[in-house]
Amino acid sequence: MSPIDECSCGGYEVSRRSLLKAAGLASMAGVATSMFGDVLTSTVYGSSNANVLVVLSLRGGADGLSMMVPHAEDAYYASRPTTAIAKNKLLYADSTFGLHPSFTALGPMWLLGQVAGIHAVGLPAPNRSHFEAMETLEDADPGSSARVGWINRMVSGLAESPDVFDAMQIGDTITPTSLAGPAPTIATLAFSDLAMPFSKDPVLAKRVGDSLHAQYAAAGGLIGAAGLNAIALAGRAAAISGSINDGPLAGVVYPRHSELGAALKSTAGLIRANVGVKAVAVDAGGWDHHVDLGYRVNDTVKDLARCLAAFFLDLGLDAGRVTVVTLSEFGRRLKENGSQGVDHGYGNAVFALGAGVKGGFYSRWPGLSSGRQVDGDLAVTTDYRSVLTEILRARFPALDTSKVFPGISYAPLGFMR
Amino acid sequence: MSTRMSAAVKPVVLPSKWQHTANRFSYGVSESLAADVRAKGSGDNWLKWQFNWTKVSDTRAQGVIAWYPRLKDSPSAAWSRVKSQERSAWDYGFDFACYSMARKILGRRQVHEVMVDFWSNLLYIPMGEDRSFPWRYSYDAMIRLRALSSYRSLLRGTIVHPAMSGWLNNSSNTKSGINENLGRELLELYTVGRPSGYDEDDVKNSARLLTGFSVRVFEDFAASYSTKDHYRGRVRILGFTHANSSSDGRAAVNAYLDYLARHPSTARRIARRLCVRFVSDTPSSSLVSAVAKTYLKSDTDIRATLWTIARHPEFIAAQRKKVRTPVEDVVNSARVLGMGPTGSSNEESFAEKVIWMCNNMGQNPYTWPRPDGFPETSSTWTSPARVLRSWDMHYNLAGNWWGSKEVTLPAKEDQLPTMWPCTLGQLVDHQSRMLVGRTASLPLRAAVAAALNLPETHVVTSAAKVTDWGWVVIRGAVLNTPEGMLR
Repeated sequence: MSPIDECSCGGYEVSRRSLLKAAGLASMAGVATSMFGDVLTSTVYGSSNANVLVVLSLRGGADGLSMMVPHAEDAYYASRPTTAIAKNKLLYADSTFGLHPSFTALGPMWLLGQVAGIHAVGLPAPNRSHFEAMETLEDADPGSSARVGWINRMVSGLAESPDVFDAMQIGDTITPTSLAGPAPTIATLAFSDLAMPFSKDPVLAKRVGDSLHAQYAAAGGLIGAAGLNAIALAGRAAAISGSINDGPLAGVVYPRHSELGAALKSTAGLIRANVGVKAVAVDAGGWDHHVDLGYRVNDTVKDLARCLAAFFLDLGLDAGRVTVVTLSEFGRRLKENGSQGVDHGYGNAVFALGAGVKGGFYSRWPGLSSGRQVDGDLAVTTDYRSVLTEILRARFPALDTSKVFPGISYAPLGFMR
Repeated sequence: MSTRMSAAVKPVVLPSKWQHTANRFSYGVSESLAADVRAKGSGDNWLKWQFNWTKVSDTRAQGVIAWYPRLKDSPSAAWSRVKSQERSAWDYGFDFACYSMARKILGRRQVHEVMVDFWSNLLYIPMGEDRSFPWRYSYDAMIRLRALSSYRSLLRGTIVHPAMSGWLNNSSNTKSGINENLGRELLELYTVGRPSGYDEDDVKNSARLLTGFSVRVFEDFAASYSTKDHYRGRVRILGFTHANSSSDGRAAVNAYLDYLARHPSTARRIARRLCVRFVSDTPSSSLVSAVAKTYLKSDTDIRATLWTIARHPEFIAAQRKKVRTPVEDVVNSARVLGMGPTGSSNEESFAEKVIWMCNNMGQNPYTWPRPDGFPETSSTWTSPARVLRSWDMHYNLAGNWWGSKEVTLPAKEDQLPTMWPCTLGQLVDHQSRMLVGRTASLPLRAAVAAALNLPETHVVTSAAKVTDWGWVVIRGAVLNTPEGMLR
């Protein structure tokens, strides 16, 4: 790997640290540290207004062929007699691709050149199992048997002692593989109620908190660590919950009854609160379209587009430091099945939005003619780790990406500034 | 019930080995469960007694279905109510989740209840899902009948059940249009798993063989076998082959399911998952092999397989190593605190509130969105947010601060020592024995003393002198110990 990234890390940290001290941000860390000991000494390095990556997982295997439609391919229309989308319905079509018509809410961002669609992306080898493909995608280090996810390696590479707020899953209390590993991470539904018992009575809360700390520190093991992390989180969350739950900003409307919208609203609040988060993982379920692809993909794309449009508005001035990337475990089969749906396939489309993105369609397009397919499906010509590397290099220049994605062949497509 | 455990300054705790067996194979060692174990003379004897579940009287849990009459709607009746917007699929799902939780809390057939949950999580179908909801209760009833029989029987019952056909789209898998969804997950999730090395042709053949199980989804949800939709012709799937020449493929499907249930890769996969549920997140290969061996030798007999686990030294050595899932946590807390639902009239009912308690901690029952079921590993359930919310919830439950109605709340006097005076430290120990089945550690005694701002030696002269506040602080603190979070 290129050595260019290796020299800048220390200097970057130092300069940022002094910047923060100058901004007076060390005081909050001081309070937290005096209560809970060494766990939180890294607070000061975390508090910042640095760049943020939001990884949006479209769980179930999104149909990239419906989202970024290869309208010039006869094979696409021949394979999907009831579910293909006509060229004249597509948005922003060029000679090869066009967006699904339900992406309209992202129109303004597209026209400003802030949305990139990248096609024929995926795992290096086909894996049509939801669970294995997701695990492989999020671990992203086939050479190692340790279950350490790429986002965990990313935040480990950005700070000597990563902070509990560096990487988070929002919208689910279950930690995804991408976040698993040695760096502390948080998975939470939202930021309300992340407090110690009796938090409204500081004296009692301190007594109870100290006793729990003593017991869990003595317990060790999985439960001991869980208890200590919980205490650390409560100490930090108390200081920020107000500012996180302020939103959304005036005039911003997330779709009603949308779980993705609720998670992105919390994410926007968290980012605006400037607590130093570097990576947020958000899950959006409901993309496993074995039946009725037509109206289902319509609904899921519409929800996705409206949520993302609201999210970037809700970020306000902080939008300039936030990049979103969508990932899904696999694409769908080219040929539609017996239920007007599509079964598990291979190559897929990825979308990158926001800060640093150079909008448009990108692909080393393999074509869909029969000789170019892999077991009947769209081939993969760009390793998804190469797409992520391109984003990380542009947005986190201090990071040694070869440690996040060991041993990959990097082939940038030029969709980042 | 015999003499109350609490009728002494120091309730006798079960021997740790008995407590361990009861902890792992139940949703919480309540007073009455501890009495059952004691009456049977050991944890192993209790387990064997529980294996014969139909012989264990269980009137309270069996009465729960009467609270949810709509669950017994025929699929077509359920669908008409949804079509007329009288109820929604979610309403049916919510009823089902409440029903299931109430049975976990109240049931005396605890081993059976735990196994119903284990299989329901492996052969998982969520609550209130559009294409399966009218059949979800029937699916559960079938799992209940077979939960302690054989895996072969369970597999035959579940895979072709109309609820499964709807959920994994087998209802629209026909010879003229194959849908691979169920055919793939049958191999990957329910039987041999990926290490067995099946390929995409095996997946396609698996799906072809499963054609014919029709459900008229969104019409009247009637289920039938449709010979005209069944794909005919030889299939090969791993080492299984069948001429499949009849238009009624059900005999061939049964042969295929039996082949899969008896496959060594299935044995290993089921054995491992059982070990992760009942022993530890990282069961040794020798334990898994021993369990898989019994599974195969007994022709997939579930009781024989569980017995091998319960007798294994690795099981015996794994005391208090598994973290309770949020659902297990809420059910355990209710059981040991003596709280039980008595009806389910409205949203104030305890039977409904327990769902939101679980949800608050990050595990809403039967709402996992994917077919692989909630993770069985403890490490999944140790996020800081979950732990914080559990700590808070234990106090809420101990004080019934959510104001649940239709719930048994034992009188304080009935759960306190009968011999007075005793010290605060002794009271904490008493509750630790009752709720967690072990003596109170020194840090726990100190924790309660600090919270109440009293010395441990503080003397309490009668049950009446224990304030409601002090009572909640003691019981919440006991449930919040590391041991209280573990089973």
